[in-house]
Amino acid sequence: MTLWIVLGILLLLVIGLTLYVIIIYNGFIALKNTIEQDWSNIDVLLKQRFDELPKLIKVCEGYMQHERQTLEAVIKARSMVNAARSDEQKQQAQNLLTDTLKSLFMVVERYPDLKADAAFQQLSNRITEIEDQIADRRELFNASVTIYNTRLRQFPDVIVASLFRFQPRTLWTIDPEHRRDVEVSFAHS
Amino acid sequence: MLFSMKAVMTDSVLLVVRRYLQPPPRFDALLRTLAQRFALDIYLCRQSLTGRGLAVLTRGTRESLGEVSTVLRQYKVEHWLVAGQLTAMKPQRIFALQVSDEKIVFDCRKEQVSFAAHGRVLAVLADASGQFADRLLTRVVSSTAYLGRDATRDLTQEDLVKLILQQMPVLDLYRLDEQGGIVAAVRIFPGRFHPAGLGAEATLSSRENLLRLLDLVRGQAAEFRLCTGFGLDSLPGSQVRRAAKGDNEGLKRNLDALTRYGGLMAELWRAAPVVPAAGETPHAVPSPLAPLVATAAILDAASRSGEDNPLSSLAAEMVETATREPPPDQTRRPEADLPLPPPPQSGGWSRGRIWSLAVFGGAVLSVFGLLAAEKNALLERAMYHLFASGAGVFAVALVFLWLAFSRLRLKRKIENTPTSRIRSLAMGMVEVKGRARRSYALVSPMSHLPCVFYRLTRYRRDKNERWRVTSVTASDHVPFLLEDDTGRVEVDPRQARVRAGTRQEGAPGQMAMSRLASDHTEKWVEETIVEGTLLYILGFAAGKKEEQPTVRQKVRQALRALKQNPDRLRTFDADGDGHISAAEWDRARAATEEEVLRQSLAAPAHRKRQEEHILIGKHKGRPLIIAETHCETQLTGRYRNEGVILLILSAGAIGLAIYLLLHYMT
Repeated sequence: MTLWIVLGILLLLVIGLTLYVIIIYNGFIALKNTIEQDWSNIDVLLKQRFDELPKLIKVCEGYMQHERQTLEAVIKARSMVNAARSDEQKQQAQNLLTDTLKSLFMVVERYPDLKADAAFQQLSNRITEIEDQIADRRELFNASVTIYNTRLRQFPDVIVASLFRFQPRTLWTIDPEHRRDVEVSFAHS
Repeated sequence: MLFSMKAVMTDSVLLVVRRYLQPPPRFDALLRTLAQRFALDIYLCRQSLTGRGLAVLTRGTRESLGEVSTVLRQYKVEHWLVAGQLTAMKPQRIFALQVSDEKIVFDCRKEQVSFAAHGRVLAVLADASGQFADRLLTRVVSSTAYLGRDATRDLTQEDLVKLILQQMPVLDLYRLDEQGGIVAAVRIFPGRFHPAGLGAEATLSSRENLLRLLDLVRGQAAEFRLCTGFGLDSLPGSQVRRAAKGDNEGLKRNLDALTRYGGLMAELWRAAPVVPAAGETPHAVPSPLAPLVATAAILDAASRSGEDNPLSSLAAEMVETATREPPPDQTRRPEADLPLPPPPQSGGWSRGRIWSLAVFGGAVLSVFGLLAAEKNALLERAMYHLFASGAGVFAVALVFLWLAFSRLRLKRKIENTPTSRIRSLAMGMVEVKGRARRSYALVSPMSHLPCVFYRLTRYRRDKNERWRVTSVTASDHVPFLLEDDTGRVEVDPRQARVRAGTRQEGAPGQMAMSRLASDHTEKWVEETIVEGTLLYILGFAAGKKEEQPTVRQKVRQALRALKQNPDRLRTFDADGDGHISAAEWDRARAATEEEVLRQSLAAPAHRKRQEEHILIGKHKGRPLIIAETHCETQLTGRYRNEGVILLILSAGAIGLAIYLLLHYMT
């Protein structure tokens, strides 16, 4: 009789434990998929920005005859995005493209006629809007990665994670250059 | 001529003011001046000078009031100085009338009273029942609740006329001489005079006939003035009290007050008002608070007219909140254009409905089985073995287990989903936080709060004194908006797990109450998500279905417009015979098609706002949670607790099932 009771309780524990492991495992899979989806969602916006760039460059070319270098930098960065294969390469290429675009918009300040152009205004607004959305989605991606990495190290999830060899993911990082303090000079040249 | 003359006031002079709907910038300075120079009570002055209609500011000798008048003139307050001792002429009741181009002759009991054309006529349209102020209060409160405080407009004279006609209307007409003195007066009750005299204007509706008569008098008079402030104006001798149906004494008292009011209105017309400079009238300044200031005055009038109105406390609270709160944000979208909520969709089989039917069916079958078991030995044995072996208890344990894990899965889902910004929402499962905003003019049915969601559950006590749910009504068919710092998105609450933060309980017939009396046999519980509260939403974001007209539809519309425009149609009449032949029509059709196509291509691509093309709602197999909380931990904690309790219950049930099984086996 006692043996049966012990066996029954053991059976209960095994069932409960199995169900819990299944939940944790499924949770990891769901999180991994969420991260993949968040990454792809950034890609959607990056593609939109990528498609808008030729139009922007074409509008700028008409006004910025003396800024070939800046425009070429944007074109080159765009080509790098196209050529990137791994996640890290893609991140670097996108960061570079963001930087070159910032430079382009800074240079545009010197061309009032270009700034007043309706097509340029529309395109720059669109690109700025996409940039904001990309920034939001990067935050979202990083939040998903953080949740996933935290779970990987938490008990009892860490047991399931090591059992099924789930690996931590890397956060979207920015270029270390951007962490430097901005030097502001009020001296007139 | 049977005119009765009646002295109603004392020898002093009255200073009557038109009240401010919106206090001007120097209003406080005016009040201070009145208090310091003339020892007037600031509180009473504020009450007399704000609100709707006319009020007596003070009374005294003409000399003493002359100085007050000078001050009021400086502050551009429209006011009158009228003799306190007035004679009021009692109007004669009419039974019939004859209308001609030269005059209108009214048949009274003993004589005829004629109103010659091109004269001076004062009309007073009033409600004799004394319930006009209550009615107005209801109207303002419901309007504020449905449209929001910012969108509530002040009532016009047309609105007042409509409201009076819905009560117990009386029309008093006064014919005035050139000096403004009353020459003749008649009183008209709708339905109590023969409308044949109106000729072609007569209708079957007694109230409509009254309006037609009013229009006739207005049309014939050279100078005409209509007063609708009886019961709202705070004037001496003109106070009205509520008179119930059959309360002849109360009705007579109100009609006497109306006679005095008419006399005072005639005197005010005769006396020259001290009017502020043109274009600077303070009463015309539009303000979102104006209707509420007017409500305060109506409230005052309603309280003067007798018993408390159940709406009074609500309206008083509304006015207090409005005056205490900072002015509304001008950048916010005006709510006046909020459409009415769509009607609930009937029919269709939702998953919840199917589940409830399945559970009900299962319960019916179980009961049937138990009943059959009493008569059938085989069934009886089967049922015995089912329960004795612990299989039934084990089935219950499995249900608990399933519920527990679904709670824990939901908790994990919430924890594992990061919060998105509305500006950059992607399609799929999303978690968003923000403030609830109405898309429709939705108001909770019992507490009358502007809300984005409500659920009303009605209960009735059964024989065992326990509350049983009799009906559940929810506004889950009404979408709403969620707003964060970056944008807005539409939310469809159908089939959502809603955790509302505002809960009210009451008995039928009560607006809201804090404590329910124990002797009630019915009660309601209302859960609402009030507009502007912080919400947590976990749901599935998807694109909305496009409802743009196709080119074919646009062409059809353009051709319909062309048919209704003879000038444009004439341009296609090539032979000029005034008719469009089949060939001409074909050319017109081709030209229209070309034009529509060109317009479609030339139209700039309109970029839609987020709420215009994304909808967060329920997707098959995915949860939709709408919770009035901005703290995620609170929500997950609740699901964790529920899950743990269900797990414990499940473990207990499994233990019992094992015990029963062992017992059964031995």
